[in-house]
Amino acid sequence: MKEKRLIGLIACLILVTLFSFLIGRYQNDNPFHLLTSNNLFRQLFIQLRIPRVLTALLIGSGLALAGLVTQIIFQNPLADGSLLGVSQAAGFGAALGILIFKGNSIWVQLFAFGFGVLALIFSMMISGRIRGNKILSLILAGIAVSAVFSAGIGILKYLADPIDQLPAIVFWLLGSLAGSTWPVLIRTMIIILPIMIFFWFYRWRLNLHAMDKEIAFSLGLKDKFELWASLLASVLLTSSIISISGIVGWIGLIIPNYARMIAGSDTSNSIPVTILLGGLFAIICDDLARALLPGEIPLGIFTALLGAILFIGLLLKKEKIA
Amino acid sequence: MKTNKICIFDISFSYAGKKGMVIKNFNFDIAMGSRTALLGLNGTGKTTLLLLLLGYITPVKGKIKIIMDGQEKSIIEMNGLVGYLSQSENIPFDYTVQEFIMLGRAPHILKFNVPTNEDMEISERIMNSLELSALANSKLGEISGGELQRVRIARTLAQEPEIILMDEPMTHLDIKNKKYLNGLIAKLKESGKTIIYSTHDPLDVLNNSDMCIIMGKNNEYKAGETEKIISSKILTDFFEIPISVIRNISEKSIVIH
Repeated sequence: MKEKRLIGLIACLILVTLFSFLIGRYQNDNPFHLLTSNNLFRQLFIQLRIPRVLTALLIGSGLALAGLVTQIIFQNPLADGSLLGVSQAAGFGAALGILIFKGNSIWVQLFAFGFGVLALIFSMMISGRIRGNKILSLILAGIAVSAVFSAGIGILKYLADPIDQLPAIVFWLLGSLAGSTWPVLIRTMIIILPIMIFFWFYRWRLNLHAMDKEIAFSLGLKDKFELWASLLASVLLTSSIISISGIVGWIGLIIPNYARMIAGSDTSNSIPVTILLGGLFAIICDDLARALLPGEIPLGIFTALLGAILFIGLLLKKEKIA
Repeated sequence: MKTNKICIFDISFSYAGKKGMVIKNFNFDIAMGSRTALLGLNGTGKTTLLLLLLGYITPVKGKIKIIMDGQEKSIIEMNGLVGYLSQSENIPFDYTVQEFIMLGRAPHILKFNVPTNEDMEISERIMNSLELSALANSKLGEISGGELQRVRIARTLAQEPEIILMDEPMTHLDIKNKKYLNGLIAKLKESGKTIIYSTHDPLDVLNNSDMCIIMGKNNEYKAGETEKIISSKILTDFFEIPISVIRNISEKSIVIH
């Protein structure tokens, strides 16, 4: 049963991936024919379309996985990366990068990533000084940190040159995979794959983080290091993805909930399904973003639109979500 | 001869940033393989004492040691062997009964592994013995409060703990489930487990414990055999209401006047 479901999902993902290679906005002709006859199309296909589809697959599965881990650690099915201020801070970092380095992509990514991690450190430091429930205080600190970086984004937008910098910032904040080439894909893989492999092996024990802390302690989760390592890994995942794709929302929130609906709450079952579904969802959204209209539509718009529709479906289907 | 015991040496505890001790200069031994009841009104530090015994919090002063087969161990060295059943539990995700009980196997499963067939067998055996097999695939959200309590106990037992700590396990149970739990505690003792539970009902203590630690306001406590502790005088002193303990050959009862 479990195996069949996974094989079905993997088959589905492979089919959608292959199909996505074939659709695009380059002339309305048969892609198989173009591949053999048109040299420019072949170049575009290999240099742009393949890495872009694969990047979509990776960031989708990474964001979904990070969302699941965050929800487990915070014992909250509605948590995701934005909870700790990570998303807003990464957005601020990227906007700052665009302003200072005139859009040089490596610096924009480094800044997004660095500020994402910085937000986590701020949230942790502030929550360490709040008495009482650790998880609640971390969430409260996250809200405050998030607000600070949102304000920062506002200031940067105000300062940005409205001709070239402001559109770049806005486009980036809406999320896009337009710049995905092989080097970008490889950079994405270097961060995402090791973390994914880590959580694959950790998939059963992750359940313990969903238990009350005293119970988890009794069950052998005594090392604070294990908690922080899992949390840091998921923040690394979120901020490194945001640094590549911009803020692509809703995947981390919605996909793990659907994965749990399909595979149950046990993380050893929900992690593989979350990874596969996340990839599938992001590829479909990115297909729409690049092929629906002659011009590129920001990816974040589609993940938000489809995500919100799925979210409403979820709310109507389940009587109890939290 | 029983030499295995938990030694509580002069422990005190206060929560960081709060004035006043929750527990002050507690000093007693708990024999392994016995049933110990922590009796007291709300707010007398029963949960704190259980968390100290779990090792989740450490005494600000004093020590808790476990002496087993002539060896001295700290609570932390008993990794996974101290089971803890909290009074209530936040379970945000809808696990099935089977998945949830399996989590009890965690101390026996390496960090990067998943449960083996042996773990399945053990958790199934425990599900059977607690009459939960019929519910195996039910979601936790679908079962009754009494059943949930039994599922949580099953998870604690799946841990195969030596020491079982239970925080007010009888509270909120109906009389049928309460009787079942009382029987279970007696059975667990027979199988050699050490059970320490808290309660505010002296009748539970009278019927179902070998040793009792009665805790009162201002860090007062008395520890000893249940027979000696549960007396009209001590109960009246600690609960500040007149209480009589009646012990006949056929029945024991507590009368609150």
